[in-house]
Amino acid sequence: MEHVTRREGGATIVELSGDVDVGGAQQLRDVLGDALTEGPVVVDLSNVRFIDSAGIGLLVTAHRRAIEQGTTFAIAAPSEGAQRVLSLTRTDRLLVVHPTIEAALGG
Amino acid sequence: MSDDEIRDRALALAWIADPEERLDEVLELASSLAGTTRAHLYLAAGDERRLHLERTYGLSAAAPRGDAEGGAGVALPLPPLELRVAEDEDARIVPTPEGSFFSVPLRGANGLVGTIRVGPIASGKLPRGAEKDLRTAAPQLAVVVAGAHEAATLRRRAGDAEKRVAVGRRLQGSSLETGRFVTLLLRLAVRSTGADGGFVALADEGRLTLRAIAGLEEYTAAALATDLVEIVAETQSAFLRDADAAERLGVRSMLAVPLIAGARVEALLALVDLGGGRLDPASLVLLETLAEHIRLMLGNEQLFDEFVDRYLQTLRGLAESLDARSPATFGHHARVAAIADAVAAELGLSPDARDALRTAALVHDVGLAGVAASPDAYVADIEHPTIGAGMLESLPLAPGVVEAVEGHHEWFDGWGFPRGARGHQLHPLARILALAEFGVEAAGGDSVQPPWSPSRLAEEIRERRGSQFDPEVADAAVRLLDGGRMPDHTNGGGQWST
Repeated sequence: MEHVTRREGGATIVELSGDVDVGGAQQLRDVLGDALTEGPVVVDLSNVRFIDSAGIGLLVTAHRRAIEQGTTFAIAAPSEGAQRVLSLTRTDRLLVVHPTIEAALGG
Repeated sequence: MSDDEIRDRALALAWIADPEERLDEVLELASSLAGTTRAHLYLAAGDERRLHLERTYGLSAAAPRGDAEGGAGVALPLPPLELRVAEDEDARIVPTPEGSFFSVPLRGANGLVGTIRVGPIASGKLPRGAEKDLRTAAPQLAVVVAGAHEAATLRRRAGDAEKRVAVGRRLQGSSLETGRFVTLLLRLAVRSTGADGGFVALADEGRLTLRAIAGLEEYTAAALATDLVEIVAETQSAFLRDADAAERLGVRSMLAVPLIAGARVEALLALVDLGGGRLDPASLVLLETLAEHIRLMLGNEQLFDEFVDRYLQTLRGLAESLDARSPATFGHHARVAAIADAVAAELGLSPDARDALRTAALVHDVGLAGVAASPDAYVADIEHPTIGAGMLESLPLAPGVVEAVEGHHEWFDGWGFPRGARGHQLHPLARILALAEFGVEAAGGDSVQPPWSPSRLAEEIRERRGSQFDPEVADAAVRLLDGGRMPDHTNGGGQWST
């Protein structure tokens, strides 16, 4: 898993790529934890080939922490593979998912 | 041998449990009394004047050995298959294709039972005293043959009933494979996604119980299912809540798919990559379909379980209604179940085994419903354990339930019915149920005799210890009776008889 973090429109955009799974969990936890200290977070999944239930679990944890902190956490532009996993695991009903980065920032 | 010794020896054959073996022994004894090498038994079948060949003794030993004397193809003379005999036929020497034979009619209380022929007699007459010995033994042999023939016929009929049941079982078998289908679909899901393994777990109020595992150690699957997967009931979402713990279990990647029925997570399908394979995102479309198949199959399984419960309830109702046909049998199944359970508890059986015994006890005579219309009450009685077992055996019941129903009239020494199975051929639960059935049926009281007192029942059980009853089971029952701890075996009507 690779990641790039940038600030845009008052939010932290975390762009993930490759496979997001158990192996990258530690890295993802740190990245999302750091981003949440800065306020709203948008995770860009457009370059993710595959995300597993461990990766999804960390997104849910981040989502819950954002609510506790009174900020926002959203998923944006999931790739076909990522979208299918979100749908199969029914976590698209638990997380906030936007079709594009713009929509996520606008929302 | 004195005449008394001959009679005793002939009557002793009646104690051989296996009826076929009993007939063989009869022929062997007749042959040895006559000093001949062969004996044939002819039995009357309905018409007393016509007898058919039932059994032969010593015939195979008389067959020519190979072609040592160039005798290949020489036809061995065989005994006739059927005989016609006169009403007042006496013992006499008769010519047969095998040579001269001595023919002894066997007469029982109800007329001619059959005839034994012993021979061949080389010199044209039997050795000195042999004829008298055979005539002395004949009445006893008639009793033994009649009993063995009846038992063999009844066993054949029971065997026929067993075959009819087996056909029914084959017809139903195909619908009962849902459990194996779930495993099959799981394996297919594992293979098609490139995973190393997976599991299916049933969800009940947020708790997951493993239902099928493929390619994983059970403890890995159990840890993942019970500790690491979180299900959110409101959104029916599933995910891994502790990636670090999963990593410690050797998991590299895992996909947990909730299987939804209505608005409820019914089960979970998980695919696990341990580093040997790699979950292929392109296969996720197929996974969606397989997950749906597994969900449907689990739904069918649940429906089937409900069906089994309802079917058992129906059988219990049927058994109860059979009991209600007479005041003497009213509550019979419930009383047998109470006694069987008390004995099982005394023997220290596990709760699961006691449940299985109770299931069997509450329906053990249900097979009588299947033969109630039979004009021959004796045959109906012989067949009811087999038919009852047949009404249960295609169901996924606990081990021993079907065997207990089938064996509740068997005796520990092989003298019971329908199979004449003995000792440890009988399932332990069958041995307990057989004693409970005896306690209620023989000692519970009916319109003819009042119920036996606990002390008389204990005495009877002691006497039948090792013959009718498994010694351990008998001892446990006697302890309960002596200690006043046995549930009431009586139908509640009438005084004790001691």
